[in-house]
Amino acid sequence: PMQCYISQKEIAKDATVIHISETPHLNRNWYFSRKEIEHNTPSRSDGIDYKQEQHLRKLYCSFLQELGIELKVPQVTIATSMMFCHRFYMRQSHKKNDWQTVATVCMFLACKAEETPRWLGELAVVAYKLIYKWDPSASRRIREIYDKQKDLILIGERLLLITIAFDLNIEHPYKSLVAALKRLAITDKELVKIAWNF
Amino acid sequence: MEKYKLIAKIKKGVFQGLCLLSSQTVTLKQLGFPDNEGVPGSLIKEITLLQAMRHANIIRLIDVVNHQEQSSIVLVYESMETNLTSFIRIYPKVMKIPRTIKELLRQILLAASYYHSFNIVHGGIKPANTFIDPATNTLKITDFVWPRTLFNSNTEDPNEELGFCYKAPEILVEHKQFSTAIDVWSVGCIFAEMVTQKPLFSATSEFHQLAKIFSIMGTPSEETWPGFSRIYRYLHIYNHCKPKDLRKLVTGLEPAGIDLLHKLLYMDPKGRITARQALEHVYFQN
Repeated sequence: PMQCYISQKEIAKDATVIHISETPHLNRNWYFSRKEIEHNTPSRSDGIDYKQEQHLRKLYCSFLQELGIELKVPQVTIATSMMFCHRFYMRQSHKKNDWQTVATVCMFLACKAEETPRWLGELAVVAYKLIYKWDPSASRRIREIYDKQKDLILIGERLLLITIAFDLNIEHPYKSLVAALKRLAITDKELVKIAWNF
Repeated sequence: MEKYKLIAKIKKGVFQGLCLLSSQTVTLKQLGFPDNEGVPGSLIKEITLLQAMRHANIIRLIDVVNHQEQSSIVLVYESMETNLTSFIRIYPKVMKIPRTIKELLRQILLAASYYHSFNIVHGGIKPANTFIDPATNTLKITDFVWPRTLFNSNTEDPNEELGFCYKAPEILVEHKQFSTAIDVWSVGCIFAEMVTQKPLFSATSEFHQLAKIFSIMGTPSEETWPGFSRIYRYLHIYNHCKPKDLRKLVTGLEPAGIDLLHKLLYMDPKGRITARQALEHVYFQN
């Protein structure tokens, strides 16, 4: 029989920025109570308080929005990448997993899941430039770090898949929202805008 | 992967295993791929679709496991032992009961109409991947060849692995516009086989398959399949055959069944009955 053990440690050894800290939960339950979100996330156990985590959530979402626009992918792909990221951090800690790397990986996977594929090389470069947009020398460094970035995303993809238990089905609220607005005959543009962007 | 113990190798990349947590037997399918773009997008899509599909007549994807050492991914399915081919061989008498055939056909059509409603084409329905639980006569299908949505279906041939006896004529002529109708044809072939206990269109090779179909269903003409001569430029090399009487070939099937069989095996895919329509056929009314 074939030998098949996933060795978490071995994966983590290669990654410089992502470390899976514990055996991943294998269930596919993505509903959390307020208490779980506020008090029981993996980041909380690592000393990151609720407010900090909220801030990090905002950071990776705006990063993904920007990254998606740079890559010219549809909003659905961006929304899916955000959901993957949310799911990841309900099971892994921010302290051990750099959010910019994780978010880039989430975008890579979301592009595949939503059938709007982007080349790994392209994604690696665009994401790197975005992460270091404050640093004018970053674009010169890309050639040196190119292969390393690509490898990191590939390792991260497996970690992400394990962490979210290969559950890639995401139901976005956009469709139901449109249906609800129609049914309730809501035409107030401002309200619609707020609901859509929530 | 420590959750599963391997028991036996079924074929290349396919294993029988045991889930150590639930003691359930499972089928493990190991999929390898080059790592340069990570997990292939088609596999991501496949996993997404298979996980979303929940139906009593479709073999369920229980789990997906990352297999780090061999850089592959393992799909874990619920396991069933008896496929239709061996079921017919082991229980020929049960298969002679018209009610059994009706019940099994109904279940294949239920599965097909379910995934067709998602615009998914199975692409490889055949007795070998149609499983039956002899205790309950529950039928489940598996092995979606290319479980993908139809909008990108004209790039690859979904029937590379399909036993050619069950291939629809539009695939044999390499018509690139596949639809859910190819599955309906395969179901028709299985229907006839359940009655007679041998394949209806059993040619000696894939090359002869089309001629075999024409010899029974009749060579298509402008009336029976408008535009066929444009799709298939080798039509002229085939002898002109008149359709044979299915009642004589599929003996023992009631008239309503023969009528349904004709509709499932309608040559022009545009005129073929859909799985959903087939379920409402008179054959199932009593």
